[in-house]
Amino acid sequence: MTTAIALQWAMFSRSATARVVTALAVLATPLFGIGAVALARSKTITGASAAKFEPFVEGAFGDAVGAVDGQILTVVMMLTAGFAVAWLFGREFADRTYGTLFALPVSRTQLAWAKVTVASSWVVACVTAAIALTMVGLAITQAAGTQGAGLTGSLVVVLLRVGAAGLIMGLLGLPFGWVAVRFRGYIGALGAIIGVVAVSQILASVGLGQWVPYVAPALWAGAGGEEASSSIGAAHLLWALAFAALGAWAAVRAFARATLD
Amino acid sequence: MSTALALVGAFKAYGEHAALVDFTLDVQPGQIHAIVGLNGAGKTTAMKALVGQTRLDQGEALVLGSPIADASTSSLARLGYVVDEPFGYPELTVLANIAFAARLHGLSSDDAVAASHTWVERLDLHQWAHTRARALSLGNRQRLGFACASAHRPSVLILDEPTNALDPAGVLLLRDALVDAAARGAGVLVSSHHLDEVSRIAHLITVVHAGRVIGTLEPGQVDLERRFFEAVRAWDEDARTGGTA
Repeated sequence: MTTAIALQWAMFSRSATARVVTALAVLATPLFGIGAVALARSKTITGASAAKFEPFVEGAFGDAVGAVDGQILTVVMMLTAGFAVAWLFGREFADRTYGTLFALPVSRTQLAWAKVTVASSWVVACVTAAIALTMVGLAITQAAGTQGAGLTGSLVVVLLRVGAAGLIMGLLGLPFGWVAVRFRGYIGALGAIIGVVAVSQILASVGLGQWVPYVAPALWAGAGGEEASSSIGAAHLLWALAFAALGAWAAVRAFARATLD
Repeated sequence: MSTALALVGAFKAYGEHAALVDFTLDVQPGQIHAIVGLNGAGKTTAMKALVGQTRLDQGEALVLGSPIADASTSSLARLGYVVDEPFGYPELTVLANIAFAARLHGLSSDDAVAASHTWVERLDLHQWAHTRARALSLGNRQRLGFACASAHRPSVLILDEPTNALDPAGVLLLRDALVDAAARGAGVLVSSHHLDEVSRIAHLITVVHAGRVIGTLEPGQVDLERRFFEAVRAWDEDARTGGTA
């Protein structure tokens, strides 16, 4: 298993895909979160956009960042982890090298679990970095003279919740590995990611998001407001995690059993 | 010593097309067994069956005496092959690809690194040792694929058209490596369109046509090409008159 993980990590870490999705996953939340709140409070936005930024004007600066980060990190982690997993599981099919993984002492099942391990570790690392950078960013903003940007106990709790929600959403990228194997490459999985985002938005907008794995963590993190957040319980989040685990298992099974006939 | 490789009564059909029909051959330890045939004759399908990429409808594919589907980890560690696409990740360097291929076949990390340097030198890839595989020419990519299949010193080698992209220098290097592998006891199954080339190194040449083994050729003779086409035409003629098919 060590060799399988080393191989998957070596190729993933050297890929252009990894560089792009890592930059997005790590930087989008601190940059856009703090940036959106700062922009909203700069009073430079007028017209239709002003209404969009209205919620970021109320309350302490840090609390507003915590609220907007819940929306950003959950979506970003689902998209970037989905792309990363699609690449990891689809690349041998896209490159036509899947056949080279037959008849090896290191089985395709081990190689597939190694892909899951690398993707999951990457999700944990990115979410940790994104939350840490947000905290650092808030500290710098406070030091620069912005009132209410400092870390408080309640804000840390909010950011940890956002991080946990981002973690679950990132792990929900694993089921796209199954799609990548079934469609023999990245393209099918990328289509599935876009489809899931669209359907999730629709289900969330009509109030059916609680039991939808790709919606519940985002609602919990505050993407739908405080009322929607408090409607999410442990059962909803455990179901989302179970769905991610089920998807990972399905991806591994499909990868190990794919044929070339 | 058990047979290195064997296909016994193999049958494989893709829809209406029979890719292999009662296909039987074997490779003994220390033997280079070449299979020659026209495009679509069944050479690649036979090799895919031997490495488990293709499931036979009937018959058996045996590696070191065991059906490939049930082969032990230790048996698989003694197998190396290049069928269709060679092993190799575009993001990894030549050295890293060879080392990972060796590790996947059971070599320790240190031994794999040592083997990667040995094979880079042996196949004259040292100029590209630290180059990512995506930047290699087709011929050097083929050399890399062969190195990845050979770095763990397999007891069984299966190579499908291993020289079709190589320059003359590469052909010589690969030929020497195959002869050395057989000399240390490895069983080698190789397919090729280059009859004069296989004639120089093969101990046994089997002619494959229409998914069947239709005969053998004596290695080392000068008129190999003529005798190959005679065998193919004779089989076609026989099939037309209802004698074989």
